[in-house]
Amino acid sequence: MARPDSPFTRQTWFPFRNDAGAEVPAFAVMGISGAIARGASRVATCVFPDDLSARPPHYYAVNGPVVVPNGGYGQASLLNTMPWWALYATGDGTPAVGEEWGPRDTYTLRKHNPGFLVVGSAESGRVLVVQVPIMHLRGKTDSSLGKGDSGTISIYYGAAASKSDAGYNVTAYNPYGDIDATKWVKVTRVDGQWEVDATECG
Amino acid sequence: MPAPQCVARFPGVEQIREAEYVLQHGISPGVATITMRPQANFPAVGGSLTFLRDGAKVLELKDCRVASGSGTASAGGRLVRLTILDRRWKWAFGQISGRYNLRLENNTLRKDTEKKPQELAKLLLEAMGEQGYSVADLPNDTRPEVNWDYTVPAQALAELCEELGCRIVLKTDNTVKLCKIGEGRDELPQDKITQASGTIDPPEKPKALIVVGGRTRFQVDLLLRAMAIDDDEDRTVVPLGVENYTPADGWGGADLLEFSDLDDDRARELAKASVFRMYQIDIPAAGVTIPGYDRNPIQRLDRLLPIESVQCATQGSDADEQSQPAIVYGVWYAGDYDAENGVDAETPAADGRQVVTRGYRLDTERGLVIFEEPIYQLSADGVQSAAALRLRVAVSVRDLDTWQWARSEFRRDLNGGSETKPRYVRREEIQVAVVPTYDDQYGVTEWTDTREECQAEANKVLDALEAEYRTTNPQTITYGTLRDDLEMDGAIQELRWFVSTTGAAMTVSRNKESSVKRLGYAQRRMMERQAKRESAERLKSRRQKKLAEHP
Repeated sequence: MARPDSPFTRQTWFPFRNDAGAEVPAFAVMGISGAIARGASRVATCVFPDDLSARPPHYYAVNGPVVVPNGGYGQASLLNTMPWWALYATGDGTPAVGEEWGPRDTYTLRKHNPGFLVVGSAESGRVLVVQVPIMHLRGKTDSSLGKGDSGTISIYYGAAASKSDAGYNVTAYNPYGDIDATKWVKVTRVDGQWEVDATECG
Repeated sequence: MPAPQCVARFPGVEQIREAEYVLQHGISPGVATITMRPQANFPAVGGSLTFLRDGAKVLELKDCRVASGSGTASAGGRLVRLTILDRRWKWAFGQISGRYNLRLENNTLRKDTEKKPQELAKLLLEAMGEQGYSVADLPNDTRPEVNWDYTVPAQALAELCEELGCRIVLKTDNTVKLCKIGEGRDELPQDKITQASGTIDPPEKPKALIVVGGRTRFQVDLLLRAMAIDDDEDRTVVPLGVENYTPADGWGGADLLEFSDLDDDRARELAKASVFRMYQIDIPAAGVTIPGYDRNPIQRLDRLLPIESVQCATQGSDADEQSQPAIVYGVWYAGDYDAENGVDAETPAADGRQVVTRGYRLDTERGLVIFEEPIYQLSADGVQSAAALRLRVAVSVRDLDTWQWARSEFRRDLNGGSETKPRYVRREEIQVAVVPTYDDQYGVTEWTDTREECQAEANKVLDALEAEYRTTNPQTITYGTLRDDLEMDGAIQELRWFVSTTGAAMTVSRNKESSVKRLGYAQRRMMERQAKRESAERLKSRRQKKLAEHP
């Protein structure tokens, strides 16, 4: 018997428990909040992105084609090997191939947010994407940040000229000179931590 | 004109007073008897027994063997009587191994094992050490399945010939010919006859002959229903949802990867093995109609079990024609990018995205399809449920009363047959296959079957059977001398040479065997088969002993 497989079967799935406190729709983007033991194996726990205590994680998880009830178990994938469907916010327009969309406040992908590269056309509120690791973020210093100090950076997402506060922060280390408060900075993931990579002059 | 001088000679025998040899059909050695004066140092081995007329050889039997000798005393003095076997005594030895004309699951010939009957006969005759043989009269159309495993070649040849309405004939020129029963010389010489007898031997002819084929194969699209293995001692297979570990919310949103919804490890393993993976043929209460079967509906699955793993329909060219494998098709979620389920409803077209292309195996004994991964359908709102599937496969049907398979019969009424029940002959290789055509509602619009081809096959068998009932005119003629113009064939079943000090005679029997002192062909075959069975038993016993000694 021939066994041609499909994108679904070629995807790498892992089991998760829905800790979102609500039903997780099919193809919803989720954050991984931890893992629990379940019999002989371990099961990831997933929540909606805005419930993550620290964001952004390096990877998000995307639910399979089945709606998972609150507290139930389902299958999710990181979408780091094969494209798969993820829900997007239809209010942000239609994703185009090459754009990067990402989770911001809920389980749909938002335009001009990092995390997922659009690789296929969109239909029925979902789009084919692959996940790309978030290595760079743009934000503003909450307060002045001296050379060699770590401080809080408010992350801003959005189109180049109209970025807005995404509503969450990262802690970043400043290896360079002193930076005033509310200055634009670019932070980069270095050695497992965020570091200031560039800063607004003056 | 003086009577011809007829004598017999055998190596080592100085003076033969009387010699007789009877040549008959078959593989059992013909027996000659020689009566002689006692003589010292008789080697009692073997050699050629020769019958001569006026010094010229009329018959030379090579490689004869002395089987026994006994002495008698009478008024004429002491005599020794030797029993000599013709060269067919050697046919009890040797072996041949091979399996030919094997059938595929759908009973079609496995081409790589094909051998025509004449080719099989040649193999056997070569294994018997024969040369100059003739197999041309052996019917060559059928492909009888043979399984030789260290089989005595002569036994195998006898069975092959019998199946094809032929006999093994050792001719007077020492070669072997396979002859059709009853076919041969019509007229016998009319000169030098000393005695002639003709009899009427009307055969005990039945009213009809019926060839009973192998079990009829029906192709059918059977509904499947999802099953699960219950968490009980016997691991019973039950309809999905009946298993005792179903989650409270059912399987609609369950993790089909690890079944993490289940708390119990054992239940989780059972679910992984069966939920949405195991589907069984579903027989609805109203029953299933098997297209082409005349006693529908079928209301019990076990009447169809075991099912086959192929369809009746075939693929490939004549040279490598093979059965199409069974297919599973219907509404299921393939996980493609562009849609949810492949189709909205299954149709008999069973095409495109209906066909389940995931790995599975068929548990033919239980009518189960067991997939390597969960197969389910997905609703538009992301809820999974059992796939709506059908299995297209070949089945046979057991009769409800006798529990035997439904078979096709091919009948031939015999002219002049007695008021008897028909004679039934089974031929497994003649197997009718039925392939239906459905409308979109799975109503059967028509079906095609292989009955016509099977009828043609059956006709060959019926021809051979009918030949057994041909009215013959058995005839025995005795001539007052030895002749060299008589030969064995399918009709001449016996020749007898006799010489003594007082004269000679030769007897020919056409369509009969005249020797009352000897076993008839049927009795000889019975003994030959018995010998074969005993030989097989001995072999089996030796093997078992060996196994016991060297486990």
